[in-house]
Amino acid sequence: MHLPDGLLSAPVCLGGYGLTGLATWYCLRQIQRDPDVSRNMPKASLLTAAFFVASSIHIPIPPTSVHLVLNGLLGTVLGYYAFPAILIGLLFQAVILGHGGMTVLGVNAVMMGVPALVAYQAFQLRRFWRWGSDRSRLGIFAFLAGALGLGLAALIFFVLVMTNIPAAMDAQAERTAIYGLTLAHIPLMLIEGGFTAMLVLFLHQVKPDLLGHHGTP
Amino acid sequence: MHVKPLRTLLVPIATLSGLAIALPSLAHSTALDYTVAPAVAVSALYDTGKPMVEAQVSVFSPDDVTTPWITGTTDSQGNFIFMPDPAVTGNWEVQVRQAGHGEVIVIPMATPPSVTENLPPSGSAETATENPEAASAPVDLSPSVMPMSPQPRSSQLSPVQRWTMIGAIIWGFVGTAFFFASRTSVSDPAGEA
Repeated sequence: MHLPDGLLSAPVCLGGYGLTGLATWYCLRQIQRDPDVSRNMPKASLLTAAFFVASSIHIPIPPTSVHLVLNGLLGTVLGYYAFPAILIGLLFQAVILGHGGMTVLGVNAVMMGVPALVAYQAFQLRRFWRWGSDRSRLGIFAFLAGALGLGLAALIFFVLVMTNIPAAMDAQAERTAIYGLTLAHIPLMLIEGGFTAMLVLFLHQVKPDLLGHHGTP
Repeated sequence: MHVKPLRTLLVPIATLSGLAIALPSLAHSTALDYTVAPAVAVSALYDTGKPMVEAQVSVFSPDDVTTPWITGTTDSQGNFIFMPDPAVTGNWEVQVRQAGHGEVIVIPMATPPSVTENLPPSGSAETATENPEAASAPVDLSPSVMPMSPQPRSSQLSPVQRWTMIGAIIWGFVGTAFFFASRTSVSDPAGEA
């Protein structure tokens, strides 16, 4: 789901870098206020590695195949650490794996990073939910946050590519292909939502404090 | 029964001759010709190795980078072949796109070009190889088959190199995690939250 080089115009790419700079500054500012940076950094580092590798894991969803993104999972578990983690992961993906590109690094970071922050806020809403046990609340909201992160990213991808179809191209054929690829992300939302819920429940059982501070909201 | 052979043959010969004169439009004459010209074969693949089937291709000549010189789609193997104008030298651009994924490849066409290169996988996760063969003044007038040899670009990493780099990056993240984890355990030996 990475946007490649040469697809978007220069103003859009520059706008992406601008928004990425702003979001990175804001997230680092929140992280700076976190009293437990050393405690959260190992978790952020390991999940950055997971994010880096995830784009190489392809899941066949006929007639196409999609790869894991895990931006919703990172947002749910890392909070404000998720955006810089995704930015670093995307940089390595572009340089080493060739997924995405350097000119669209900012756009890709916004496309995956901002939904991760939204997923984190959605996960925090569990505190206002009074029904069910703590464990069931955790599982349900982790699932929703994981799926929401990917869903929003897919939606942004959809809007960007639909609004940047070159005039010389067969727009109808390209739209059909984009519809197919976007719809293929719906099953992936369920997979990543389930994966996020399992990880959150595992952390809750093994080390609950890992689900605590993620920077100052 | 005695049959006069000459009279017997004259009737059908005359009939057929009349038809040939009256209906010349029914004739099926053909004329085949060929031209030997330089061609570029682009092969588009996703990083999974799956070909980009029916991906849209736009070719831009060095003279006009905004209006496609030719457009088309890849075949079932992800291949697209076109013949650039040999009189136009410079960087030809080929854009392959499908569902928001794609690649732009620059093909230098000089006089006489002889370039073979591969694109590394891209974002979207696809590769393209091109094999331009040009003849400034084709001397050999016999038809020839232009080879498509997807030789990797010298700068492209081998799988061993690539996975070594991936492993090194993952180990860097793991090492960072260990570093901060050790700092936490030193500053908080009791392991209190």
